[in-house]
Amino acid sequence: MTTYDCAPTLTDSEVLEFCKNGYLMLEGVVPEEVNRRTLEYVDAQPQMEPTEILKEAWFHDNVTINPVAAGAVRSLLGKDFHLPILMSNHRIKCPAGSQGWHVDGNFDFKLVLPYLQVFYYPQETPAENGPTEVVPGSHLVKNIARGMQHYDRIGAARATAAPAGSIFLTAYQIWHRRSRSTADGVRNLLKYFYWRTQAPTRDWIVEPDFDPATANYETPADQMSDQFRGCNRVAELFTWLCGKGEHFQNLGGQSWPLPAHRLGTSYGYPTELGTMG
Amino acid sequence: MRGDSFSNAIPMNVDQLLVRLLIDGYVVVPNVLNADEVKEAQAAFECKAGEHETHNLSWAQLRSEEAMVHATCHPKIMAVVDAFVSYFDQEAVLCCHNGARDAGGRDAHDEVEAARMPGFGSEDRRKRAGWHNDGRVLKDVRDAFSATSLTALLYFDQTFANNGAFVVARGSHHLHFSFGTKGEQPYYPDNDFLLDNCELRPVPVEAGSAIIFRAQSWHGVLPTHLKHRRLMVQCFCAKDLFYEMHGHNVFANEADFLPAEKHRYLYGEEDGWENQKAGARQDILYIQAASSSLSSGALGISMVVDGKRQEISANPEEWPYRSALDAINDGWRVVQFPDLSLLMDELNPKGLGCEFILERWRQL
Repeated sequence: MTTYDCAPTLTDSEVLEFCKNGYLMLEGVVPEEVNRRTLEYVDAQPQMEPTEILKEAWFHDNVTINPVAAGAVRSLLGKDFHLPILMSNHRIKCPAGSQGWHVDGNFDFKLVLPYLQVFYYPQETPAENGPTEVVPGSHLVKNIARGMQHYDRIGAARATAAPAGSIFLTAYQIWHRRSRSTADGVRNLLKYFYWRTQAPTRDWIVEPDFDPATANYETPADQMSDQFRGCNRVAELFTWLCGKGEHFQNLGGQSWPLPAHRLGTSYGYPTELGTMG
Repeated sequence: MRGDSFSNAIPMNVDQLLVRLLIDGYVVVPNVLNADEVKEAQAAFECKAGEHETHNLSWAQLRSEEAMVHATCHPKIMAVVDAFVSYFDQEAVLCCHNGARDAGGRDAHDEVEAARMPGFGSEDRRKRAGWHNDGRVLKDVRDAFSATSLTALLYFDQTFANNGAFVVARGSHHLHFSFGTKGEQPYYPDNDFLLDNCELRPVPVEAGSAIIFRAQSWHGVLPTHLKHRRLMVQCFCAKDLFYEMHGHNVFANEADFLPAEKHRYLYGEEDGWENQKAGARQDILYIQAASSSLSSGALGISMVVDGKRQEISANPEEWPYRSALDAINDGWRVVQFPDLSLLMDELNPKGLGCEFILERWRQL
C-alpha cells in the first residue's frame, strides 16, 4: 500500500472552513518548471487518463506530495494517507460550453471524510478558460448527477479560476461542473484521489483560542436546506474529523451548534468533546 | 323558424342513442333540422358555393352564414356527442370542422330514378363504397384519441339505400379493441377480413337528419347519382385529447363566429390552444428558490428560449428574474410548483431548493 505522511498544515479554523465549503483552493503552489513539464507531458499524452505521470519523480515530488497540498490532505485525512492510483485529465479544447452540474459517481453520502478528490491546474486558468465551478457547501446536500442536468446558474457557485500551479481539494460529493470557456486553446485539469487510512483525530494544527463550543458552523449550504440544518451538518462533520463523531448530538431548538449569543456554556455541547484536544 | 328545433323537446331518447352508438359504432339522429331549417341551410350552401365557385366549402367560407352557424354544434347532435364523450369521463370539443360539401350533381337522378338504382349487394359492396376507418387517415394518432372521437354528418338532402347512402360495417369499431395496439398506435385488422365478418349496412337518411359515427368504425358511401347530396361534417373529441389533431384541420378559437352557448365546445386560449397551434414554441424557465413562496429569492436559474438554452450571467444581480413572482409578472406561467413532499425530510436535504418550472409561448 502506497501511503504517505507529512506534517499537517491546516489549523482548526481552516479545517472547519473546509467542512463548511467542501473545497479548499491552494493557489500557485506548484513550481512553474513543474507546470511546464506537466503541460509537455499531457500534450504528448493527451489521453483522458495519463496515469503513468504518477510514476514521474518530478511530478510525484512536486504535485502528488506537494508540501502545501499534502499538508492539507494530511490535515483532513490523517497520517499515512493513501496516495493516488489514477490520474485523469479533463483536457478541453476551448471555447466550449459549460458542462452540466454533477456529482462524481460512486460517492457515499455520509457526514464523514474518508477521501478527497484533488484537482491541479498546470496552466493559468482564468474564467475565459472554463475553470471548474463548485457550489460551496453542496457536499452537505445530497444530489445525483442525472437529477441536476437542468440546473444552470447557481447563485452560490464559485469558479475556481486560478493561476498556474494551483491545486484544490474537494469533498468528493461536491456539486461541480466545467464552466463555459470563451478563449481559444486547450485547458488541462488533472484530477486524482487520496484516501484516509487512519481513524480521524484532531491532529492538525490546533489553535489555542479555537473553541468548538462557540465556533460558527454556518455554511453556504444553509440556504439549500431548512434553517440551521446546514450548520448542524458542518458541526457533525467537524466532530467526526476530530474523532468524536459518536458523541455528536443536537438537542434541538437553540442548543449547540446553532449560531447564537448565549448565556454560559452552549446548551447541548457534548461534554465528551471537551476541548477536543 | 330556426328556433323551433331548439325550443322543441328533443324527439329522441339520448340514452338509447348512446347505447346504439356504443354497440353499433354509429347512430342516426333524426330531424336535427326541421324543414325550414333545411331549406335555409341549402340556400346558404348554394349562396357560398356560387360565391366561391366550389361545392366543397370550408368552415371559413361558411361561417358568415347564419344557417351554417346554427347547424354547427347543433344541440340535438351535441346531446349525443356529450353523452358519448361523458361515457369516457371527458368533455367534448369540436376538434375539426370540415365545412360542407355537395357530392351530387354528376349523373344525377331524381328520387324516383334512384329507386331503380342497383341495390346494396354483397357482390360489389367493397369496390363501390370506398370503405375506410377515420382513425387510419389521422397521422400519429393515439389509440385513446380515436376511441373517443366522433364524426357527425348533418344532411341537407335525402339519401337512399341504393344511392348516396352512408354505409357502415356495423360494430366494426369493436374489432379495433380485439386487435389492440402497437405501442400507442391503434392496430387495425385487415379490410377484407373485417368486411367478411361484419354486417354491412346502408344508412339512408332524410334531409335534416344526422349520422354520428365513431372514428374507429369502418364506413363508406355509396356512389351518388343524386342532384344534390349536401352535408356538413364535424368531428368531435375529448378535450384532453385535442392535441392529437395536430397536423390536421383543427378547429379552435372560433368564438367570434359561434354563439355563446356553443363556446363550451371550442378549444380556446384558456385551454392552451394559442400556445400550441402551429408555429408556437414553448420557452421554459426553471427557478430554484429558497422556499416555496413565489417571492422567495432564486438560488438557481436556467432558461430555454426559442429552443436554445440561454447564457445567464454568473452574477445573480444580473439574472433576468430574482424570483418566480418576478417571472410571473413578466408573463411567465407556472406549470409546476415545488414538490413539498421532497422537502419533508429536513434532516437530509436534497437538491437545490424549491423548484418552480414556468413556461411562456413564443410565436415564431
